[in-house]
Order: sequence, then C-alpha cells, then structure tokens
Amino acid sequence: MKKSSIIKNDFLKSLPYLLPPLILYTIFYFYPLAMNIYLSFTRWNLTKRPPTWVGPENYFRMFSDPVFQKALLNTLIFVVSVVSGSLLLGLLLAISVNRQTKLASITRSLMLIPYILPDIAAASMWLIIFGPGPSGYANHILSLLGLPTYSWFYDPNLALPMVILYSIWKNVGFCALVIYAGLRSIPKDYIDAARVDGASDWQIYFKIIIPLLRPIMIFSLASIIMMSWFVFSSVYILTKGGPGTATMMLGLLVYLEAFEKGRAGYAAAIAVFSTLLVIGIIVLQMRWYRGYEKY
Amino acid sequence: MNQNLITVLAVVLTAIIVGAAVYVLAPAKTVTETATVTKTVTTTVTQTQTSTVTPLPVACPVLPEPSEPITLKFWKWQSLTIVDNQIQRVIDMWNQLHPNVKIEFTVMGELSTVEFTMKVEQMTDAGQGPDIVMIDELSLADLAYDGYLAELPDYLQEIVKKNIVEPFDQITYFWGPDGVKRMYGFPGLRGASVKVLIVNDYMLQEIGYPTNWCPKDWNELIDVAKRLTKYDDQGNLVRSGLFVRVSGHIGGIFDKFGPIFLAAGGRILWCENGQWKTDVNSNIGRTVLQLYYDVLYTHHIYDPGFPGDTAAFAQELVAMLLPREPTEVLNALLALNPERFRDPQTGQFKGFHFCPIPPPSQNMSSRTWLDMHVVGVNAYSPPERQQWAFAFLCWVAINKDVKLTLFNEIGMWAPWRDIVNEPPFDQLIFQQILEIAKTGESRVIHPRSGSLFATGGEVLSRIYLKELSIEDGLRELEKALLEAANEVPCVS
Repeated sequence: MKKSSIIKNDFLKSLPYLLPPLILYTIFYFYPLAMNIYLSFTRWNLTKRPPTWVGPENYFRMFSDPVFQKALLNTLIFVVSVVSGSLLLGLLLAISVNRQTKLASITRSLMLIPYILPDIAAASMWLIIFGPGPSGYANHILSLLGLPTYSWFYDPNLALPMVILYSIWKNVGFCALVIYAGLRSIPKDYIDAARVDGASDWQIYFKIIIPLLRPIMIFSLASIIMMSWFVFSSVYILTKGGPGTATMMLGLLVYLEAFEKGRAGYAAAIAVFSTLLVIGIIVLQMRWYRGYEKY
Repeated sequence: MNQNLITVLAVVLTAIIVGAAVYVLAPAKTVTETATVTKTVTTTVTQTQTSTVTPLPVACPVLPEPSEPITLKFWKWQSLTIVDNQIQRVIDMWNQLHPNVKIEFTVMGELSTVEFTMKVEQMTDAGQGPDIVMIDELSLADLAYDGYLAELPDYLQEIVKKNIVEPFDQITYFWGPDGVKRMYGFPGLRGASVKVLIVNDYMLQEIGYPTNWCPKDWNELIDVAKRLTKYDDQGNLVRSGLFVRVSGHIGGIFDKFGPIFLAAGGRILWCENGQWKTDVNSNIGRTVLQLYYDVLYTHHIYDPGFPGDTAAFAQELVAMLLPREPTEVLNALLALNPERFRDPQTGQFKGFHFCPIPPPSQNMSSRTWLDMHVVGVNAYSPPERQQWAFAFLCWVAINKDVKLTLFNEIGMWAPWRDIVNEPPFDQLIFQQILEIAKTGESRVIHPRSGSLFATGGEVLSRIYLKELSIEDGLRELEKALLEAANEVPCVS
C-alpha cells in the first residue's frame, strides 16, 4: 500500500475521535477568538445595533491612549513583581516544608489556604485589615505603636505595591506546592552521592536541587505569568484600578472599556494585543527552557 | 532549619494573637472622639405642607383574566435584599389576585448595568427576554434607544403624569430609536432620590452651629468643613469635614461631579443645531475642580485614603457628604448606626439633615440631579403579556397600600403624590427631599448616558488624583465627552 493512502486511511479512522473535540473547540474557542479579532476592527457598544467597521483605528487609538499605556506599564510591573516574588518565596517555603515533621505537614496544608480562598473573600479580608484611616486593623496597630499610618490601597504610591503584595500572598502557596512536588521527585541518591563527595548544604541546593527543579520552575513561571497577566477580580475588588489609574491593569481596562463605557471594539483590540504579547513572552520562555533542556 | 522555621512561625503567630488582642481590647480612637458629642439633640420637625395634592384615584382598565395561565418575567438589576423582599411581597399580592397571570421576579445582582442591558437585549432576540425590567434610568435609556421598550399606553401615561411629583416626571421620558423622547419609563419600585448635601447635626452642634444650617455658598461650605475636620497629633485625618467622591466606580465619580457642576451654572451636555455641545472646559469647570482641589489639597479636609461615603458618614468619620442620595444614606444609617440616627420609640430619623447643593456664590441658585430607578415593558413581548405588564404597573400606581408596602417599611421615599405627605414621609427629612427635588433635573442627558458617565468619570479621577493638570484634564474631559456623545446623532 502506498504511504499516502496509509496516511489517508489513518486520518479517516481517527476522524470520529477528533471530530467531537474539534467541533467543541471551534464553537467555544476558535469562533469567539475569531469574533474577538473581528470586533477589534469595529466600533460596537454591545447592543443590538451592529458593529461598524473602523479598520485599525482601535489599534492606533491604543497607542495614543495614556490610560492604556499606564495599564500596560502597571501590568508589566505587576507581572514581573508577582512572578519573581511568588517563585522566590515559594521556593523558600517549599524547601522549608520539605521534611517529615508534623509542623512541616501542617504548614504544607496551611500554605495553600490563600490560594484556595476565593478572591472576593481574600480581597475583602485585605480591605478590612488595610482599611483606610483609623478604622483599619493595620493602621490601628501602627497608631498604637506610635508609628505613622498609611492609606494603603488609596494612596497612589502605595496602591500598586499593595496589590502586588496581595497577589504574591495569594499565589505563593501554589508555587510552593508545585516546587515541593518537584523536590519530592528528586532522587535521594543524587543528594546522598553529593554528600559522600563532601558537598555542603548550600552546594547541594545550588548545584543539584535547584538545577533539577528547573522544569517545574518553568511550569510555575508560565502559570503565574498567565494568571497575573490577565489579573482582574482582585484588582477590581481591591481598587477598581484606582486611585486615578495607579492600579489599572490590562484585564481590568478591557472590562471597563467594554462593560462600563460600552466600547467593545476598543476593548477587543486591547484583548488581542495583550494576548499576543503574553503568547510572545511564553514562546520566548519556552525557547529559553529548551536551551536548558540539554543540561 | 527546622528550629528556625518553628521560631519564625511562633513569632508570626504571637504577633497575630497580640495584634488581635490589642485591637479587641483597645477602643478605636475615633470612637472616643465622637463619643463626647452624645448630648441631647432636639431636631425641630417643621412640617412644610407643599403644594402637592392627592389626586383622585384613576381606574385601570379591567382586562379579562386569561383562560390559560401566563407568566410575566420581571428582571431587576442590582440586589438590595431589603428592597427585593418588599417587591417580592407586592408581587405575591398580585399573584394572589391574578392566579392566571403570575409574575416571576428575578434579581440580577451580579451584573453590571451594561451586562444587564446586554442580557435583556440578547435574551429578547432569542425569544426568552423579560416582560418587565427595572434598572437605573441611565441604563433604561439604552434599552429605549435600542428599541426594546414599549411606550406606556395613554391611560398609564395619564396616571403617571397626574400622580408623580414634578420634576420626577422628567425621568419617565427617554429617547426612542428615532431620537424622539417618549414616556417609556414607569417610576421604579425601589424609591427615588435627589442628590443633596448631607450634614451631621451632632457635629454642627459641636462647633456651635444650628442643626438646620445649610451653606449659602462654597466659601461657607469650606469654612464649616474645615472646622468640622479633625486631625491626630501626626496630622493624620481622624474626621473629615466634607467627603467628595474622587475614586471608586468611574460612572459614580461623574455622577457626583454633575450636581456640583450644575449648581455652578454648567449644562454639561446639550444638542444644538444637530451637534452635541459641552461646557465642561470652561471657567465653570475650573471653579468646580478648584473646589475639589481645595477639599483635597489646599485645606486637607478629605483625602482619598480616608474612609468615605455613606458608611463613613454613618460611622461619624465624615461630617458632610457632597453630593449623595438620601435613600442610600438612610440605608447605611439603619444598617450601621441605627441607635444614633433613629429614635427607637418614634421611629423618627434624627441627628442629620439634607441641604440643597450650594452654588459657588449666594447670587446663584442651587441645582441638582434627580435619581430614580425606572421600570420598562419589553416592546417584543407578545401583546397579551405586554397588556398585563402595563396592568401590573397601573395596579401599583393607583394602589396606595401597595406603594406604602414598597416604600414605607424600608424607609425608601418615592415621588407619588398620594404618599409623600403620609407617615413616615411627613418627617422633616423626607419633606426636605421633596423641597430640594424642586431644584432637580434628570440625569439622562444623552441616549447613552451610562457610557458617557463612565468616560467622564475616568478622566475626572485622573484630574482629582493630579495625574492630569486642571487645564489638560478639562480639555481631555471635553474631548472624551464629545467623542462618547457623538456615538449617537443629536436630534435638535
């Protein structure tokens, strides 16, 4: 039998298996994606009146819109800070709990609590703790200690660091758990062999454990980048992008443009741009990872 | 390392426990400061019988009960338990009277206004839309302009015109798809309001002012606000004399700017010779923004990091709110500090009063925005269901008991002539609302007012926080408002 007919035969045989997911993907993924790209070239206010084709106007507008620029900058700062903070603290936490004691076991369970808490509950709790003026717990304790109080989420200079801090607190448990799983999968023989060769604890961590954790770190990195790039609910609850535009993020801007201002076309353009940007970052990251795979 | 971990955890846990204990044991600073002003305060209730007269009840047309049961779908935007329960009670009353015309009430509390209107339109297109909708007037304007609302039948228009207190009748008219204004709206079952200045009487007494004081102009407002403001030893605000809205929901920021701008003599948006016009980029705009800057920066009367709005007013962290809707404040007072602001014996509200929005100078008049959620009937509902939907609204309109069930028990005021002078609305505060409402006008300044407010609010928030200078900000505000307004052609 010819090679091409074998391929054709295989394809026909696999079609019934491929078709259901393909149809579902087309309806629920490719079609909305294509619609979003189409909408990004239109002006539409989400109502019955049909979208008007405006060409690349929304994309040109994006780059002259100071709020978009601020949101892009804020998102980049947010992603870099949350990713590095969550991974670093997650690594330290994972190493700390990587032992067979009762306390370590309790800590492993506790560290996941912020991650599994819904944003509405966790963010509301933060709003109460870091409430403005004398009514907030944090400010109350600071004032009892004779220290100055802060406006936390309402101060244009503090709001973004506070949102970053919240997100690190929220994600660190997830990173720690993933890294902990990676730590558990490292064969003990490698470490024992290093010890026999006279390696110190630090050398074992930096020369053996951390390099072997790289694949798991890359996975955590990609997950946290995606989670933080499209951050919405926590920022919406904590600051609504304010004060001013101090905590405006791309995800929130898309929502506000579409569902508050009724500019669905412009919101779609921002969504397309920001998706392409994050895809670019993930591709670069994968290439970087492939470079290390040969390790 | 294990030992270190235990030590760190122990320190953190101890800090949390000690912190919580200190917080629980130590009374809050502001509470001690405000506790000293719980002197006897007698609020003189002056009855101002206004010119509103109770009209004769008008009969609604009697429809033959359908032989087959029909169900009317009633969708309400925004969840407010106390209101929703009362509406459900009224619907239960209707359902008992008309067993073959059941109303099914659904509250969509989780949706934004745009999401709600979008859902109404999409579900209607799919043949599953609601028959009756209730939402704020800015969003109902979208539904009317998109052709989803049926004009009220003549008999109902007559009843509304005769029974509603002016100028609230303005809020029942909306632009249709052809750009012509018609009566598409019926006064909402949630209460109406007017944006006013709200003042804490206890704090006024503290500085030796009478409890019926209202500022005549902005100088007097700022002067009193400065006296009412308190700071701690480090200069931190512990009580704000005047709250102005500078952050939060962007549409709300513009909504609170509007009345101050109107009182300063502005128009915001109008249609002239087929063109949308705005006067925000003017001396009036500069004057209004200077007022915000004076409150925030020149006199440090309020700062964005301090508690604000109705909750802070109820907790007596803020002495005055400019501007706010009385109904919202009443809810907060009843929820957070009822013993301080309501006499448990008489049920009369006390300790605060409402003032008109002060103009910049005494030779100017006060103006403000009215506020009312509105009910509409779906233009695409089958004729029979539409008729019954209007019949339901008519039943509400002419039935005093129904209105008192809706508004009385929840302290919500509504501009129906036959109830505005009935208990509890004969109280001073409700009579003040009635009086101040005379200076009010509709917020529906454009068929797409909701998106216009959001667009304007975003620019304003950047001006207030000094991301933009006043001059650049006003230019941007003008540009943004006109761009949003021009989405719809203006019909002079």
